[in-house]
Amino acid sequence: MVVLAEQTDVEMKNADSPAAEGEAGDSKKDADLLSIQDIREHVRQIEKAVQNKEPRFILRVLRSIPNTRRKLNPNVLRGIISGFYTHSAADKDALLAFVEEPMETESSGSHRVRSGRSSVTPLLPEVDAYIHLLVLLKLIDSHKYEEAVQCSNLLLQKVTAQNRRTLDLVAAKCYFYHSRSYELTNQLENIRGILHSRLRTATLRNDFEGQAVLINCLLRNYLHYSLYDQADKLVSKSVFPESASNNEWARFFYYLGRIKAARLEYSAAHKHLVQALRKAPQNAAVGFRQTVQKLAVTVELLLGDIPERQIFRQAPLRRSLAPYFQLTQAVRMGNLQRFGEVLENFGPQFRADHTFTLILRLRHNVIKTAIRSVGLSYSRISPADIAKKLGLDSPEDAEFIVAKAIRDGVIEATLDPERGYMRSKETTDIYCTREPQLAFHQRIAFCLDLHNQSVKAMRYPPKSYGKDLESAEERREREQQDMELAKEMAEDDDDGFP
Amino acid sequence: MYLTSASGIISLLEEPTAEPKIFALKKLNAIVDEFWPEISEAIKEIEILHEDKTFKEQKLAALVASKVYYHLGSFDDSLKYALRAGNLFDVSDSTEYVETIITKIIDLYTKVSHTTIKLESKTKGIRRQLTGFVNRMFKICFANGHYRQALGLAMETQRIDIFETAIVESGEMNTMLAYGYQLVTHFMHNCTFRNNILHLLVRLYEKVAEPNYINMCQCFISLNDPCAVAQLLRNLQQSTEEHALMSYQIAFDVYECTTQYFLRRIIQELSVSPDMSVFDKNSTIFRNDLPAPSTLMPSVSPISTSNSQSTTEEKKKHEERTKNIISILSGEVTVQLYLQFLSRNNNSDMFILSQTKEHARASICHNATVIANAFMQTGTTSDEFLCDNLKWLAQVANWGKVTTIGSLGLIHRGREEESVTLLQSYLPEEEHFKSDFVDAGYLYALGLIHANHGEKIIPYLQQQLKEASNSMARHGGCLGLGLAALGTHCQDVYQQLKSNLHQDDAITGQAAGIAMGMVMLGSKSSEAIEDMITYAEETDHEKIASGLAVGVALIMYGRLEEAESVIATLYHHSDPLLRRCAMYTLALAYCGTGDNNALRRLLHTAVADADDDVRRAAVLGIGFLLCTAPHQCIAVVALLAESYNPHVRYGAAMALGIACAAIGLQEAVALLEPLTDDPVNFVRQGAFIASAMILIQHTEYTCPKVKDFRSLYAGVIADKYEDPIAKFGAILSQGIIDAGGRNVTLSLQSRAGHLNPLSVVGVLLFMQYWYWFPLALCLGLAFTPTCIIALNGQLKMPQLQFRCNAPLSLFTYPSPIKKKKTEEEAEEERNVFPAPVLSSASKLCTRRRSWKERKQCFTDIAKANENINDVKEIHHQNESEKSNKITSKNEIEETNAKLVEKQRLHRNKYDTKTENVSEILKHIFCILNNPSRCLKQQLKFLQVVDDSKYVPLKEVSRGGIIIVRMNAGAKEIELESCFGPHLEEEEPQPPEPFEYIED
Repeated sequence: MVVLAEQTDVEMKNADSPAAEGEAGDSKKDADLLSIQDIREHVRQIEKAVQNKEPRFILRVLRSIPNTRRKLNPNVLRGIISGFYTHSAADKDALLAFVEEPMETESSGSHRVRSGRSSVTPLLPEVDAYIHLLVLLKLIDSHKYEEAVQCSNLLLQKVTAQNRRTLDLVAAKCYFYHSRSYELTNQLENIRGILHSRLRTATLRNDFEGQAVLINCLLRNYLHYSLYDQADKLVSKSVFPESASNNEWARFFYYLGRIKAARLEYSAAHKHLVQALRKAPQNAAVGFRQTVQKLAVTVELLLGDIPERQIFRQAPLRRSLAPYFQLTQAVRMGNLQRFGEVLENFGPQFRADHTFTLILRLRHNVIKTAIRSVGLSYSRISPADIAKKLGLDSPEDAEFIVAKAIRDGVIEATLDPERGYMRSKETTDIYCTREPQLAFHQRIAFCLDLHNQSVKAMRYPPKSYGKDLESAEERREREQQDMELAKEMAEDDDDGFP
Repeated sequence: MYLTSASGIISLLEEPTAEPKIFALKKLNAIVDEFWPEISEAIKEIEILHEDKTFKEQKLAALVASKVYYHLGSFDDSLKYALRAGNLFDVSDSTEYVETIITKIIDLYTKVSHTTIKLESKTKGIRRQLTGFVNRMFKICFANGHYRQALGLAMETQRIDIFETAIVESGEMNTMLAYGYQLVTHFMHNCTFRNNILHLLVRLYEKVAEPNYINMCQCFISLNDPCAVAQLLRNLQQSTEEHALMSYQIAFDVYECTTQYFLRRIIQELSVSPDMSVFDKNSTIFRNDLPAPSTLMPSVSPISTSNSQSTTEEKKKHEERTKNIISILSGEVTVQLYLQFLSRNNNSDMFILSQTKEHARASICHNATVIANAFMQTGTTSDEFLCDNLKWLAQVANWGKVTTIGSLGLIHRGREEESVTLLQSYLPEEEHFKSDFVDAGYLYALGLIHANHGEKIIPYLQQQLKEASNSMARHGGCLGLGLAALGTHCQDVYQQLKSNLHQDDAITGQAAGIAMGMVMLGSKSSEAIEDMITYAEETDHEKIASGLAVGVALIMYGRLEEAESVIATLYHHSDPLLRRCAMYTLALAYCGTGDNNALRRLLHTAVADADDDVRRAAVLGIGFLLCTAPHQCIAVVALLAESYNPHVRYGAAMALGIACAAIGLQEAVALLEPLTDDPVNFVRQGAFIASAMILIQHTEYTCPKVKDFRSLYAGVIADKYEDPIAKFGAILSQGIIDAGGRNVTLSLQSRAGHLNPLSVVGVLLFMQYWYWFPLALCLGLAFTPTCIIALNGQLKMPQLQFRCNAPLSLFTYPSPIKKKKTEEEAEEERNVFPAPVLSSASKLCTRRRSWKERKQCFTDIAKANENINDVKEIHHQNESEKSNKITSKNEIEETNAKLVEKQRLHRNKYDTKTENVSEILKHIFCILNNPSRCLKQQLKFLQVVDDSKYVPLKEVSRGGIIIVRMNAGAKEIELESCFGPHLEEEEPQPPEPFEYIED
């Protein structure tokens, strides 16, 4: 009865895939009613979660936000708002102000969701925040960014005023979209202070999800303005909560990868990016995976490795990774000329991907790879030939570059200036070293870690351990049968020996 | 321009001159919330600045450092620098930073102040800083009028001085003192500090002009200071009439929650007091002389000759008052009143028992039926069941006889005057019927009659024990003596029991071990402890050791950390019996405190010990430990109740029974329900007993499950295939749930909120029924009558009425079980009568759910009933048997006025539900006549009728015996007829069998 916690989720922020608002236009009344039903069900789930102090249910609701988001339209929103905000007209009007007038005049929204006595009592803060969040999402989706900012400000006020552990998960989402709406209006730097103060509060209250989201928002904020130094300091001074959700971990690793790559720590960056890819949802969030993969390819190239061809063949990534494929080919062949062409052709796209500066650094790698292949194929070669092969201007240049490459440990060779050639050393058998052992160890450690994490992610349904045990009724029955059997046997015995 | 980096400001810190540094620090202080990751890189420089003595703004540097450390999550460092920042750290600020640091500081201060003994020079500095800081906090508290917070904080941090100022400055001394007392008794588990605070409270009480004497006396009881109580009583009774009445009230309270030793000391103190002839009636003096009373008293009052006439009169009066007080303290009054109450109101349902008797075939069920009868009839003096079933009774053999005869003791509990003759009348006269077991039972029964009140019988019991010729009689004698001399700390009784123990006879030794503990209850006598533990280690008899285990625990009753040395030696002992002793000792020493440390140890043993008995005892102990916090107990025990180990499950059930006794909590019942279906017999037994303990005296309205459980017991008993062990539990449960003629409850706490030692002992001994059935009878000690009895200055019951603001039907006795009809009859009845449920009744049920709804009832009625006269009439009917018509009339008018008023408020909302007005009205409130049954749950609805002639001296809602003062105007005292049989019974009981025995 072990259920793996589902991990499909949520659009990642980089996947600004075209929002599905086109469908909203032809949505029929039935569909609207159905969506209202759905949202009512969500609200019920949230109420259940609050009553039982069981965050699982809220999590379930929040996981379905991408779906819900697609169904939102003014009709639905009006229906929900007027259905739930029965206790306070002020709150209702404040929210309705953000929702545009429905196109159809016939009102479908006036059916009461909450009836009788409960209509007077105020909504749970969790439900309030959730509905408000839906309104905000709708605003973002319909590109009304200015209004979205106002709406998210209101929402944040509501959320900050409460101190409830059950609100944490919803609040975390609110922080994210608050940050998002500011990003869309290009005023991210204004909310840094708020994010910092919320992060402090979340840390003090052991609100792990909030902490994770806020750290990510802050990192994104810094990276948006290329404040790599600040971001790096934040990462080194704060602790990312262990129990954050996978998506937050994925984001965090991605940002970490970017920071590390910018700070020339390529192997660390690569490690983080690979982890980000692993943590990211496998079937959704294509945009996120594309972005991460781009950066990962670049970093791998910077490390001097050549990414596997398979990566570029994956269907969802093929198109977006095409420039990087060419780049890889250039690097792999050590063809400086082709490298220059790629840079020229795809420069703007690289810039948009935030990888341009990194790719510029690749030039050295191209040369190094070329030298390495030269070193592998020739046991002895003159600088003039090298210059010709690499397309360099003079043999002197080639000699200097080779000297540097030797010093960096790119190739195992010696320069003999008197006789005018470079001599490569015999390659050693790598299987004699500890290298394979280390590699194996790394893989084993990874597998064990994966195993442990999946065990941790398992959840056991409550109180099911007693199910297999005999119930009292069954026991009575069995005992009674035993007794009767014993009696019968005794009687049989009597019959046998009169 | 928006600031993107703090590095520019940070670099200013390295400037050689002071000015830019100060500027930088000020800047940093402002932006630290956002740029802390960067600033934290420069924390070294800031720290250096702080330590630089020549630098002017050292404190500012400390504040910045503190904030940076706060953001880094290193609260210890943050706290250190916040303290050094001194006044720059603004305590009254409401930012998260300040709040967090303040809580940390208070935590640290609390920790530091708890370990005051060893202070190194380094911590001293911090301590000074902390003290300064906390003092600032207190000042703010006082300034804002948060006296209660200050009081709590002062107690937590053990600051007696602040504790005092908080109380004195609050301006409402009496409430604050009461609050302080409550805090100390509930949350302070350190003996020495608690006593210090209690002394302080007493000192403050003395300063108050008209202190709350009852609370003051509670302090003395907590301090275990009989002399002070005696002094207080003497002073009060020498003062005005009202004070004298107050002294009676206090005496009743004292009797209810203290040991015999304590009472005896008070009585000694009072009777020895030299000043009966010379006293001053000037009431101010008695207040001043409290600190040093005995020296002051005689010297003050020069009696003038002209006054001599009046003084002799006064003297007489005071002698009488002293006599009254002593008679109250000796318990005679209380015992008599309770005996009367229980015997007059006996409402037990004999049919239940006779039904049970039919099904009780196994000998242990037989035994259980006898015990259940004893529970049902505790103190009611009704031996009907036993007399009716003499032949059936004759089946008992051996120790069953002890139980049977012992049960007579419980039935006649409190009939002390004629106890010996009464019991002997039951005993067989023929020589050949007499057996050693009968003697044992006889002595045990005597002990039960005189339990905790054995002044008169102790010599007789001692004599009997000395003459006893065999181990059975000695067993009974020891138990009886122990019960009678409970908590007297009497040395010669102890020595006699000890000599019995040293005979090294298993049966005698077991009883002697328990009895020694009972005699020395809560004395912490190191000599006794040493005797008992060494003997328990040496003896070969398990019985003796288990008896001694209980005994040792009893000696350490309520001694908190003073019992630690004993617990430490026994906790890891190799002998499981002694480990069990450690568990009992832990449970009793910390009984009712919920001490975390003790709880941790009990829980650990409950899951880790190798011996089942020890584990069971440990879980049981949790019940005792948390008996004042039933909800907590439920939470702690919930998992244990699902343990794989049946002994732990049994223990969990019992722990619930003990901690939630008579509270009827749904959660507790819900935990027990699955246990009643447990596959293991004795777990079911435990679950039955525990459920009965929880549901005692509950009606269907206060706990709807009660009916299910009653029928469950009956079902289990009647079930042919059910195991006798489980049946045993079900039979006992029937006895417990209807105990004392349905007029007693089970509680480890006395009405004032103290632990009641008698109840605790009773329950612990009852739990020993696991090993020794006759001990089951001891649960009778824990039963307390649920009554409200008002007494006047002459200790007589005046005619007076209480008003209970809830329908009587919520709290009435359950209806007697009807005899099962034969098939035909039942069929016929079904045809003739439809379901006999009134529509109004069902409506009532739904309406009664909550008090709020009940109020709604009020409005409904009022609406329908504009005509006041109608209502009046109904009331007259309702109270036709009561004589006091004038009172009720006035009252009805008043209530009706209220009703009309409410009606106006609600007129618009509710228009329906106007029928059956009279039916409902009867249930709204009821009038109780003076000595009356009043359940625990009912007490909170209780008040004195509005224009009563009498004023109670303490809140009526406490229940029990309450002294009332007559209003100045009122004259007549109509006394309730105290004695005599209950009028409503079909036939008067025959006089008790009486035989004249010539010696």
